[in-house]
Amino acid sequence: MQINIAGTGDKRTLTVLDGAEVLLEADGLKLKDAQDLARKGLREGWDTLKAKK
Amino acid sequence: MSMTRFPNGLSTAASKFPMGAYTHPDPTDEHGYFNDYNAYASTDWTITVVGTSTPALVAGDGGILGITTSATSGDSSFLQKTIASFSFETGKPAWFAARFKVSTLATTMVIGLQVIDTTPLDVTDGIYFLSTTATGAVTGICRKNASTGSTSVACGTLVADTYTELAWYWDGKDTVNFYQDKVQTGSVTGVAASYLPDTTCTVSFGVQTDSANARTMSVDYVHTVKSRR
Repeated sequence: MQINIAGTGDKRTLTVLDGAEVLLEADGLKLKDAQDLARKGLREGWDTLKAKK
Repeated sequence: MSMTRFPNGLSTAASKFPMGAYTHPDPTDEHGYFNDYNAYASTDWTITVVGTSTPALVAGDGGILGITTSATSGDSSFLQKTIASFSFETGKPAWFAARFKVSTLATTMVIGLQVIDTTPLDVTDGIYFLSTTATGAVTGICRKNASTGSTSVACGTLVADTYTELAWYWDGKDTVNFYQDKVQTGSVTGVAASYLPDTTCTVSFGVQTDSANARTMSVDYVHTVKSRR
């Protein structure tokens, strides 16, 4: 699994990949928010996050 | 140098047990993970990257995994073996050793067993090494539930672009000993009641640049074992 946080400042883009499958994409995030969101996915599952979007 | 030979075998099992006549030490005595980085599969890992980074094998004797950050201060690359499979228990010792180097100091580096998390520099649970200063000073950390259950000790020093082995040993009773290059450099006690991680952990390591320059962590090997006895 690859958790990528690109960009700078409060305009980070979070992309979570499982191989070629995109599990989650979100942008316009602060670094901490991107880390927190990905942590939530790790703990609760990516499908849960998608369902809440 | 003479060699000691055991042509009839060498066992760790009592003769009455199923493995009693097996001619090697019972491999199920411990649960372990070892990677010398002659091979690497990114799909075995949860890789958390700030900026850009693609960990990959690099040429060099011994098998080496190279992890290079991008060049914005705070950029990082962390690897955590999927799925977490090491829990800590009293009565069951555990060991960890890793040989690695960082290209330059003024680098934040972490290596050890940790819970899978997006911020390995500050996880809730684990027994691991952390270096955050330009001096290369290394801290050994034993942590349960973050700051409320964390104990640490200074236990080594990194030198830029120089391989070193950091290791720890949980004695299964109450103490974690920390080592650098086979020499004990620190110890924390009172672990069992307050600090022993209570969440399943995994092999974890990575690097963060603390300046606008890329940093590289080169990992020669990682070895961790937990007793089943």
